Amino acid sequence: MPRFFRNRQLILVLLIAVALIAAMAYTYDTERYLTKAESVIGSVFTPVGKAFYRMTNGISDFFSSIREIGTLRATNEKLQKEVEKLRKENIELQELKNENLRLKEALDFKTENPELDLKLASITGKNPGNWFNIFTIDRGKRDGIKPGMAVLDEKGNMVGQVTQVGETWAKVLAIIDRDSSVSAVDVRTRDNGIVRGDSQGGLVMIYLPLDAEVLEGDIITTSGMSRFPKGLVIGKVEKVTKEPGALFKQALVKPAADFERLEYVFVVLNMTETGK
Amino acid sequence: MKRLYKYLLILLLIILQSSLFKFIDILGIKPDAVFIFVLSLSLLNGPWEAVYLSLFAGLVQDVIFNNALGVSTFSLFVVSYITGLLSKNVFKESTFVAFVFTFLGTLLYNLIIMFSMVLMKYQFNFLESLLDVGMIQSVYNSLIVAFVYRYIVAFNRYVSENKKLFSRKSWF
Repeated sequence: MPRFFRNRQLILVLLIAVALIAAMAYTYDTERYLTKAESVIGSVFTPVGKAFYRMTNGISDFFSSIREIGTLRATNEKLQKEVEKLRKENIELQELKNENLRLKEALDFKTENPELDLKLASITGKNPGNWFNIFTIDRGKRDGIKPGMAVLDEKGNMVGQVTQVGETWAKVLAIIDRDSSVSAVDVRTRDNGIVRGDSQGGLVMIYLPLDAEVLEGDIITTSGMSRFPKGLVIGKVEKVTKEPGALFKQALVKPAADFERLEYVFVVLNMTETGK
Repeated sequence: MKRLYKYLLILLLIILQSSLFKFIDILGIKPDAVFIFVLSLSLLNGPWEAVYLSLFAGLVQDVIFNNALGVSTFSLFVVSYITGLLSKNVFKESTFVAFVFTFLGTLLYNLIIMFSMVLMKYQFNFLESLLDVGMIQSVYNSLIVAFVYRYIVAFNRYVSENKKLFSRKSWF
């Protein structure tokens, strides 16, 4: 028997590697409901992740206030404690105020757009790596979420689309991911194109015709030619470029949604069934 | 029993990585605490540990945060296993060795993810992305290892102490 077949560890490792590659090939680019096992793992993880995600926004404020307290004079120790206590309370109040404001904005958007059937969801975590812009939300199949639904921020700006759905949670592919593409239109000139992510937090609108009159500052929205509702704000044009010899122009677009500070999102439940 | 601590710590690191770590990015690049931890333990304990830990950490991350199941598991698995194999020939507890392994390991990890992305028809500039993401993360990860490796070694020693009381094979 060749020596290779006697090394059981290596054979096992190779089998696992092949299985992983097969899993990757089978699952990538598919919108699907997650299997029971995957769904359970996420359901256990989601509440803990959500608590941590919420906490982190407070933590950055908390540390900066502690640093300031360290610089006060020793004689003011008593006052310091008072200040610390008040600051903590203040931060808590600020947090509540911010949360209130965000939810109020969300409510405003919902009442102003009765034609959209929206479901509010909180973000529970973001992809830990640097290559993919995917985040998880705390709503799933049970709440009527389906793969392919559009996701908006609390002001109604386009954030991404649901890709995989578990029982109580779902994964959302952000529009700034390299793999995301959305059919878009310039509000002013009605030029059509496709908006893709560059994974550095920006967007590029490609396939703009050479005679397109897209200018810096133009608002880009969804075009209604895909299954997304039309008129959802994607972002603002920052720069229009054309490479010599190219058949199309492209525009750099700054996303309207603030992906760094996203906490709540809306999922659009009434998507059109046509187009993909 | 203490072996479970490693798995619990990995879960905690994944949670921190997906929430807190967005605040400590440099030039938009986050370090990878899970990678550092798994790689360090693979270096200390050899290839079997590499297989168990990388599969666990990778699959949890992929199921929850990635659309393609296996994309980070595969690269973590390959890098950890190679580290585990090579660890037989080096002085494992030296911080410098861990520094070098982490630097090269992070580069290879990102390279494998990029190759997977090419196969999945992602469009991006390969060299630019490697420099922008891979290089920066390699420097960042290896600097972190320089500071935390001694604690990982101490943790590993603490976890391995009871190895004789509990048969190694009874767990995983």
